[in-house]
Amino acid sequence: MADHELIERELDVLAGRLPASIVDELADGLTETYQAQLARLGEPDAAAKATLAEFGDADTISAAFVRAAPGRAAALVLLAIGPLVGALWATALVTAQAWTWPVPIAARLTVGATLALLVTVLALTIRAKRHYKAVQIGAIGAACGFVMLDLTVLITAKVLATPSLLIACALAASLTRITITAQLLIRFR
Amino acid sequence: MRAEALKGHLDALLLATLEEGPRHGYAIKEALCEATGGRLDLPTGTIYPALHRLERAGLISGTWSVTAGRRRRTYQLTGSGVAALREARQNWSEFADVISSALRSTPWPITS
Repeated sequence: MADHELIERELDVLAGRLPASIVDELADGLTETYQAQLARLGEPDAAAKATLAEFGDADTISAAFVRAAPGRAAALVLLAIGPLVGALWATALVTAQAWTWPVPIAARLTVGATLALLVTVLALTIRAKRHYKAVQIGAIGAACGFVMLDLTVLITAKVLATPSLLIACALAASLTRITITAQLLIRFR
Repeated sequence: MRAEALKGHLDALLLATLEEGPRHGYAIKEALCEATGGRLDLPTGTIYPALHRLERAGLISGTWSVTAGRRRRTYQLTGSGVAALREARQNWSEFADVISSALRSTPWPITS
């Protein structure tokens, strides 16, 4: 680590927002920059200030990482395809008179609340500007949640619904979303 | 030159700095600065997200080592990166030719 309080403070802020491996890499870059500035200016405080000016502040760096985060891209994809899948299911369930199915009210409310929660998490994820860790956790949580939700609705409809073209389309949409979500999750490695 | 002016070209510039061999983040920034005669005003820290994006795209690969007690990530071009750099050079060359032709100060012919 660089031997200057200003640099350590910047690294502390970055460590609260970014994964440890990224912070290690940035620490190496900051130290190299600080040493180059120290050799040029010869005075630690001036070198530290010049280092931060050259390297960029913690907000600028974390915002750049968030913009390129796989989690942000995944959240945007899930938010974009969500209304299509939702519209297909709504049409299929209304046509199939799903309110007559023997599904407990608590289960119906749980599915609705989970859906609202997942959409909220996705919206908050794409609004996050500097917290890379929060973006990644939010996107992974929402992706896993949508897989669980899709599987639940898919199995319920398969068991209770009378086969129809609309139900088949809704099932296909859910299966497609599960596949897309799995591919997005693989990119998180 | 500000970072905004580099939009769409930063990836190719970063790939070009790795053509001579593996480099870590700060060395890439220095190579970029040297290659452009210090005219690129790019915050060093913003190079790292771009490197991570290029790595996820499979155009570069990174490896960890330890230098002076610090963990250091060094990047090198992959086969896909070499091909992407070749294509970016070709595209830039064609683009520059077109714009140069359009901006040439030769007077337009009178048509009436």
